[in-house]
Amino acid sequence: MYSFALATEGGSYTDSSQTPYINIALVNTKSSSDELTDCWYKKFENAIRSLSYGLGRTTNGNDRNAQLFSPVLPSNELVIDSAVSFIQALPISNQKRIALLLLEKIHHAIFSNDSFRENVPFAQIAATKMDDGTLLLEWAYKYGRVNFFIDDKADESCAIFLMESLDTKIPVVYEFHINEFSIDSLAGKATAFVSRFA
Amino acid sequence: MGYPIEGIYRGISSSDSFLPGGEVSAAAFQFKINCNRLDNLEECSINWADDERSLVNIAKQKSNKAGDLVKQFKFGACSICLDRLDELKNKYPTIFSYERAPVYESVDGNEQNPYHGNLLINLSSSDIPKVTKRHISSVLAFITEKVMIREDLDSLIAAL
Repeated sequence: MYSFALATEGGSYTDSSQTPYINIALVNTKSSSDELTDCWYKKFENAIRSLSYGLGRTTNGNDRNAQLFSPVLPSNELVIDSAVSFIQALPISNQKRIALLLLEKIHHAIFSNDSFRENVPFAQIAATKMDDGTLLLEWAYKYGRVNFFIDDKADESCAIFLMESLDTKIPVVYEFHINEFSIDSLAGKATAFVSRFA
Repeated sequence: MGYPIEGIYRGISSSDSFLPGGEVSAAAFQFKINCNRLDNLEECSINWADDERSLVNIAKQKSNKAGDLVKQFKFGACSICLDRLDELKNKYPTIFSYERAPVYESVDGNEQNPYHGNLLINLSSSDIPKVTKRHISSVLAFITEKVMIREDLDSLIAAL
């Protein structure tokens, strides 16, 4: 079966002079699902939190006002923390794993790109469990949305991107299938899509 | 009876239905099976915005929580105008529709609700029903116009 390996590189998360960088790799191993322990998740989630804490820092080490990226919200860190905390409280599952991978991949792509983060207002982010058990991750922008509907059955998961249309009263909708192997490309698509709002 | 150009109000009973900055989440438009229906359509309950009493009706609605009557829409309401709903209907002609479904009985201390209706989806005509449902929920959340928080609804009641 497939499981996930976490690798870190690019310096310490507590070092304010560097943008945190974590790399999540998909590897084909024969490890059993028992190996997907709480410990693994804690490590992963801490890595994401550290990434979010890096938000307010520039490469020259000066603190930067997080509100720069978020005219609406008081603190991006809090918002990301809230989504991470929500996911963290979920039982271990495919759903949880995919949600964490998506969150990390997209936020790494956003925060590691100066041009992007300075030109695109940071999104409102929410993680919600819907009544049918679907985990919904939403990035809401003024002119569009990125929604991930994550089922525990990966083959029923999908991403829905919406963009305001000048020609119609409803948005243009793009849909993508989600599975463990499409997360990298999906995160790339989401980031490219959101960059169109800049 | 036709449908008002002002469209619909959707009451918000869960904090999950709002994003942190106050935008409406796709989770606010979840469609559910109603066992009393014979047509297998899934419903999302709304009030038609026929007049100002429609929103007051939402503001005053209560639900029974373990014997206590509490405000049903604790987090507010949002609205979508009819032309947007119609455009969505045109996009998914065999899947998305709406109806009036007035409530004539007083239940749990609630008044009759002549404004009540439903947004409907017919998933039997979709090849990929779950994805289609998510499309529609996502679009509905995106096209919401006014958002009224609970305090706004309480002000309406206070002004009566």
